[in-house]
Amino acid sequence: MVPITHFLYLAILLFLIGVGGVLLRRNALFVLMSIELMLNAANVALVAFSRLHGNHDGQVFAFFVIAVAAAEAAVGLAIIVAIFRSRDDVDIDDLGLLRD
Amino acid sequence: MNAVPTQDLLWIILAPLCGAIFNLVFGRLAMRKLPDRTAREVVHLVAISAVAIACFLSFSVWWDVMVEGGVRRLVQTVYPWIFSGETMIGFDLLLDPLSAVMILVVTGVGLLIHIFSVGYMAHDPDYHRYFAYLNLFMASMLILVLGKSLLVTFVGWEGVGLCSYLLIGFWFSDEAKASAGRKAFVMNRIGDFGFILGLFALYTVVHSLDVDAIAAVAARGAQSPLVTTALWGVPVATVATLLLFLGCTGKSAQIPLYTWLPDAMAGPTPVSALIHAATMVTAGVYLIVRLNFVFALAPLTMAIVAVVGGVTALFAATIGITQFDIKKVLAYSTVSQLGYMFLAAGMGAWVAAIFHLMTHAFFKACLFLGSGSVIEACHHNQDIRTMGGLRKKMPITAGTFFISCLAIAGIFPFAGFFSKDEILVGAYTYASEWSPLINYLGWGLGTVAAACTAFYMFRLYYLTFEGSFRGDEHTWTHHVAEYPIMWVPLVILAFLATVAGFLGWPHALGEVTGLHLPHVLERWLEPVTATSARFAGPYYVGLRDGGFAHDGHVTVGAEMGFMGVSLGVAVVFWLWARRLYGDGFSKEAEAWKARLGKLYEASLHKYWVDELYDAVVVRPFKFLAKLCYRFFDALVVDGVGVGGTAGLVGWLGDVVRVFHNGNVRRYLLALLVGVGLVLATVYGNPTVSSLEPSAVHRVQSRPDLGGLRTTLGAEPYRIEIGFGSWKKVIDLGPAAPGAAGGER
Amino acid sequence: MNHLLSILLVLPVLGALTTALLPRGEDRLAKGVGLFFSGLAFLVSLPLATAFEAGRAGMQFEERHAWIDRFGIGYHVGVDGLSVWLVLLATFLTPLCIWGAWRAIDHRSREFVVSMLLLETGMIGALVALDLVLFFTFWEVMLVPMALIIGIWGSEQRVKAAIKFFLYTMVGSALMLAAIVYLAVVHYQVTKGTLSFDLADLDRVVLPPDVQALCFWAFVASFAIKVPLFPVHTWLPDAHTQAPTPGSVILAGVLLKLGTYGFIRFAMPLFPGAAAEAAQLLAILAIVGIVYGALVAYAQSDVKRLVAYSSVSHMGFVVLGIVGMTTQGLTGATYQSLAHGLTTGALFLCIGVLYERRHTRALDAFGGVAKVMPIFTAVFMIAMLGSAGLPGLVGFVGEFLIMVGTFSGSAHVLNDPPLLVLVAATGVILGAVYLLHMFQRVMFGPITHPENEKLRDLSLREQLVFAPILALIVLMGVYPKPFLETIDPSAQALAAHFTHKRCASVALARSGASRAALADDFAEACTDPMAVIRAVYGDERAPQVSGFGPAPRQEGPRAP
Repeated sequence: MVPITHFLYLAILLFLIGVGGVLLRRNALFVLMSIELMLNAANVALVAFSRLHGNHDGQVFAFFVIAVAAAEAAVGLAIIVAIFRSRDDVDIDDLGLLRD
Repeated sequence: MNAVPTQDLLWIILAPLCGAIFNLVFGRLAMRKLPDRTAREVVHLVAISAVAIACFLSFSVWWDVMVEGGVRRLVQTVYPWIFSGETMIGFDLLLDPLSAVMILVVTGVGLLIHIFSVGYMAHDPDYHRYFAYLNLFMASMLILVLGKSLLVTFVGWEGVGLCSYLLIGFWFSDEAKASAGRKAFVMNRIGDFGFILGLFALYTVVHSLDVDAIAAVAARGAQSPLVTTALWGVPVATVATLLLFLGCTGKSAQIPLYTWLPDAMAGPTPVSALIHAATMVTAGVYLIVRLNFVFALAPLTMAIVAVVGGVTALFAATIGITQFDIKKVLAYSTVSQLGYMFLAAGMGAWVAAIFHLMTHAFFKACLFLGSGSVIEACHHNQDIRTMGGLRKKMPITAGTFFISCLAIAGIFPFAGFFSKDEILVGAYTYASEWSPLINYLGWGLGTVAAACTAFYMFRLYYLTFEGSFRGDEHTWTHHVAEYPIMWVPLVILAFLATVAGFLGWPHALGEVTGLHLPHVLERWLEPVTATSARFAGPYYVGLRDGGFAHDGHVTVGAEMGFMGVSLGVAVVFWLWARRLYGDGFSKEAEAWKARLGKLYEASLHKYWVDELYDAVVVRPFKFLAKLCYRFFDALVVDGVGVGGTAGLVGWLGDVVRVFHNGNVRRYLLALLVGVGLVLATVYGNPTVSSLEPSAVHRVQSRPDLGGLRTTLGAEPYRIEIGFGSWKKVIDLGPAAPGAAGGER
Repeated sequence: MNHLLSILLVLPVLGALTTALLPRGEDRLAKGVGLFFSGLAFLVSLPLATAFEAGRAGMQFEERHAWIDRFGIGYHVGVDGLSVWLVLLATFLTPLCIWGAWRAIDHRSREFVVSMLLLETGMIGALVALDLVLFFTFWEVMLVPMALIIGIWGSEQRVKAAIKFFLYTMVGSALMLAAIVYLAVVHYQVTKGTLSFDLADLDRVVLPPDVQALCFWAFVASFAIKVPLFPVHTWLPDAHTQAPTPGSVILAGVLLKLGTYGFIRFAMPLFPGAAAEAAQLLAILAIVGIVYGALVAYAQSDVKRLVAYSSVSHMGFVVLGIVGMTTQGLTGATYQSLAHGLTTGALFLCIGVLYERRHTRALDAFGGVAKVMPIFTAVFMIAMLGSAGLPGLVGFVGEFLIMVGTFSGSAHVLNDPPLLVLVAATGVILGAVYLLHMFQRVMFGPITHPENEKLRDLSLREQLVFAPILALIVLMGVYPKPFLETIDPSAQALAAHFTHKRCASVALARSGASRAALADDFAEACTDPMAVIRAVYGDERAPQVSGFGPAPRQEGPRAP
């Protein structure tokens, strides 16, 4: 059986890739995808622990996360598309409209 | 006592008070709605009848109850005024021989001056206000005199100060007059500050401010707690009397607080006569005699009172010699005569002090009213350099003025002779810790001052009434005539100034002339001075041995000697004044002026005391006020303190702003760094990272806000936080008997 | 009339709601409604004076309901001698202010009336609340309308003044809230599970010295700012100067009193040990305030600022009376609060009259006004003399009681009280100096500005506004009996309670325990509280000795 730590290392790896994406990429689309990656890292960890404890709560919780992530992706993409239409650009460093 | 209903005492006060209220409320209405003449009639009839009622009641109570009925003390409880805890200040009135003398003088002289005012103020537009204030003054003065509790006296004390302020600044459109009023009030307030603190000092020992209660405590003499308890290392009696005496110097214009009185001459002249000569300014003397049993317990204070009185008497007299303003001369004369009274009081000659107070009220009121007539006649000119020869125009005024001059100078047999002589004899023979030095000093000051008095009074008389007129033609020809309403009071006062002295016929004169009159006043006041007369030891108040005294009287020879000296001095200086000023300013007078040089200058400029006070007190005060405001309040407290705090908060905000720039990715980075730090702390720390369960090491946390009860439940629990070697233990929950050693 | 206080609290709110529902622009109507409701509240409050049982110390008109039961927070209101007259002062001054502002407030009258009425509820609530959370709620409720009144209807610098006022006061309240919660938690622990914010319950707790001091100063922070005590007074001149006349009157008349009332009702009895330790410092601050306020008042060229600084001076006397913890001092402090409310209120109204006519507050702009406005002169003078503490007017009674109490009886908490009173009494002189200075500059002298020649004298409305205040100024000075009768028993009880609880605090400290306890636990140890205190502080601090040492022997040099 694959030990729990392997799953956790995978989750950490995925999470860090996500974090790196959010921190380094400037295109809003990539940022959104990186966030999805982080959520999925959490899902991996949840499922792994669920299997370790023989309890299904974690898997159920992962489904919730997927559902929320889907909703988020839908809304986020819609916003990005709307911004792209109005400004021809989705570079997040240039999107300071609400702040300034 | 049954014959007279007890509310009489209260009505003595209420009558003028009602008059004041009437004129304050309706006077203005009357002056506006009624024809001028009628309105004035209404106003002064109300005012005068109010005082007349008070006067009548005073005389009837005095005669019926005290003289005929033989009752020496009348007490009337009106209502409890201020009370709290053990403090109980009743609004009670007391009529005893001392206050009887005072109310007779106050209402009697007051009535005459009210009548005189009708003529003097006849054309003033604020007629009603004038009489309202005057009535208010009478009421306050009577409260002062009749108060049984010293705090009630204090009400009158401040009340007369207020009326004095209002009346000095009566013509307030003139800035200088308004300022004179304010000066009087502030200086009186300085005195009142002493007065009230003196009361507190007495209160700590007596636990009451009732005169009788204080007398009862003081009656124990040297064993009295007034002497045995100390305040700031000095017996309470001394502290209290010194503070009270500060009050007296303010009210009675003694050194160092006398400078307001000459300025107070800015008020209408009848006011000067009533308030600043006859009644209010004598309140200090009254207070000391009223509390003679406490003052007698404080020999130090007595000595100070005597010296201050004597020095003031001489000091003011030397200023009076060179003044040219008729009222200023009289003002300094008043300060000087008040000094005499304090000299007497400080020498334990209580009766002499009250005697002089009474005679002074008569002749000084007469002098002031006379000067009022002169001023009125000379179209409100007060400079004696432009007067002279007025006797031809106003013989009655001149006559009464002359009689009063004789009285104040101490010429036999006018009133001043007897009272002044009694003071000088008392000063010479008084037994004190500092005898005989203080006796020589007191007597010497008094005698020299008497010489000055005779000189400046007759100088004033001759320059005003004799010789030839030095003013302009217009004034002389359009001279205002003497009206009965103004000269009748003068005549009455001059009469009193002539005969009042016989109330204090000295024993020695009886021996010499065979005319054995009783010393009426001494007998009359005997109950008041009885307590202090019993004191022994250092607190003994009485005559010094040494060949002067026998049987409580000074020996005939000694007393005759004193009389001869003072009479001789008075006559000599009278004649000298006549020679120098009998017909205007003579060449000899000018020669003396040149000869005295600087001394003359100093006297003319009142020794520059006003300027000194201005430099030493007024200016530093103003500077301090400005400094407090501009520097301390605006700069230190509000600038550095408040502004600094606000600035610090603002600066911190600016610093923190750098991080809150709205960039989500930067927030995320901060988040990561934070998480990393927390994880490092937890995993770098063996206490927390070792997951060993232990008995005390149980962290409970139920995030149940509503369940505070269960969270803080009966079980104790402990949180330990550690990092490296640093460790903190927090005990929560109810006291755990076993775990009491934890840090709080 | 058991619900009297509740009715009194609700009435102004009701008035505020009614006013808020009026159509915009109906200025006169809004003021009329406000006047009606505040006047009604005054009438309703009158039974407080008539039905109040004199000679009894405890709470009267008490009412208690559960409010947030889960935390032991209750709706508990009541008045005793120390608060009843202040409540009446609040209900008395509010309608007069609304009426007095009839012309001065000419825009947004509706909002103004709403603010005034809410302010009234806040003031009454803070005065009658006997539950600390309830008190705190009302305490904060007062703040907002007052800040609005300053900030909207004030003069040029109004916003700055309003913010200053708001922030200053908030700082204190925050600390006080923390102390209140802490006290409740401690009470919960010592009673083993009763959570309560009721004053009577919390009053049973005795805290160990160090925590007690912390809590005391947390309360003091709040109250001292409100008083205001030197050196946290600088919000007051700004707030007063910028506030519209009715705002100044209420601020001086009632709001400042809540600071001293807080001392009397909460800070002193809850933490007597700490209060006794801090008394000397507070007394010195109070005295510095008296002298300093007077000095600074003299340096002002703005009439309103001058009167504002005079408040600092007068309130110093009140604090002095409180920290001395004598019956006379407490009675005097309460009385002086009333006196200051009336006289300073009247002075601000007078300045309002001048400001309405000339639109300036500079001393230089006046002079000789007495000639053209005789009625106003009389009014102004009585108010001024009352403020200066002339005997026979209201200001004297309180000042006298404060000073006599402190001088003779406060040695159990103060060092050398006679000296303190000596310095404080110079305020009597200085008061005369700056008030007469102001009066002369404004009223006397020749008329130097032609604008002043045609000033209108008081209108009938203005005369009617002044009349009741002046009547009280005179009446309360001449015949204070009805007031003292009700104040005195409560003051006496409080002073005794203070000494007793201080004894418990001393006993707790001596037992070496570091935890809080209930005062009742020390009942036995404190049968003679003064003895305990004397044992700790030494004989010279017992009140009977009054700070006097033995008299030096007087050796008479000779016998007659």
